[in-house]
Amino acid sequence: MSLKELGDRLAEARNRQDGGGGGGRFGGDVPRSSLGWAFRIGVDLVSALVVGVGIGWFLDHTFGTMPLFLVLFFFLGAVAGALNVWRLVTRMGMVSTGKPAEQASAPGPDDDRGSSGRG
Amino acid sequence: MIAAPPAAAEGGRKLAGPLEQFEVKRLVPITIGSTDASFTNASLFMALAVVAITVFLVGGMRGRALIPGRWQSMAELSYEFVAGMVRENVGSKGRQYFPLIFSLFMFILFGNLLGMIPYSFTFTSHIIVTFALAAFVFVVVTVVALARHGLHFFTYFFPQGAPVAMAPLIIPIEILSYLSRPVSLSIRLFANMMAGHTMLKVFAMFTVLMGIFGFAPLAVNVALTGFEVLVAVLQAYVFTILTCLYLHDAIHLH
Repeated sequence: MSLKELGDRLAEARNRQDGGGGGGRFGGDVPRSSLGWAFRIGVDLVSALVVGVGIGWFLDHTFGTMPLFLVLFFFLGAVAGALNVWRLVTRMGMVSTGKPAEQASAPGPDDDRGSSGRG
Repeated sequence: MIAAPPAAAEGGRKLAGPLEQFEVKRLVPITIGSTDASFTNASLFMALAVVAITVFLVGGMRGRALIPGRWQSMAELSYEFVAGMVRENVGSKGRQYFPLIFSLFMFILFGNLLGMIPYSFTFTSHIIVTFALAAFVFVVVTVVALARHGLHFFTYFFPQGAPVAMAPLIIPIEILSYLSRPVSLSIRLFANMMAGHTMLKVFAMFTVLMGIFGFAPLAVNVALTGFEVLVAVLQAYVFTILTCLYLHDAIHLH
């Protein structure tokens, strides 16, 4: 086998390994226990709040405006935490965001968006 | 110090508390200026982890056999595992960051697993260690994003199609969400390790205190030890895969 032939085969194998576009798949679908889920969502929810309160407290401490930024960033942090959880949950396919119009037009008995207790 | 029964059975000695295993002890006191830079048991186990990884990989690959033996298989398996993770989650552009991801994974994995050996110290159960790792990841990811996209990176904080009037509200929220990444990354690893090891210690104490009925907590401890090994590997995996996802976001933006 010539060197060029070998090089071609190597390149071909590398292309196959990349799986075409090689853009990477979005979302890490880690198979997890429900406890792991609960823990992960909880941490994501709280961490943004911690960051928000930390920044707010620091700004207040620096400028001497004690409750102002703390309150403001508390709420911003809470929203950011909710956003984190929302992203995590949609990324993992727990919420159906694919065809909202279709689902809204046909709210049959199978519509499970409101029944969180069933899953 | 974890899975070993506390040496308090022979009377007189005080039973070690469940949190004493996390105490950082100075082994070689070093002071640089006014900074305490002592070589502690945490430093010792970090160094041990690095040595163990080096021995594991270099020793395993020494033979370079075409048909790998057990040891070489393990070394190749760890390489393949991380390589596959990077390829699937970051894409082909992520290949140049493989050494970083691999080092990170092996360091955390060996840190977690070394902690499972009785009388050892788990450095990943300290939030300052996990936060340093997560902050390092955060800085690297941000620098990569800035280097690849320049100022265009800042559009990451404002989703396309959102009304401009909402910008004063959306941008701070997005920035906070971005800043919360290292915090959640570090808390997840630290809390898992610390909770597991505390639980092991508590059940080990029950074993000693309950005398003849100690077999029940002992059985729980056996199961927990197995579970903790699983958690040790899983948390190293979770930390690494989240790093990959952040890197994916940094390279591809949205």
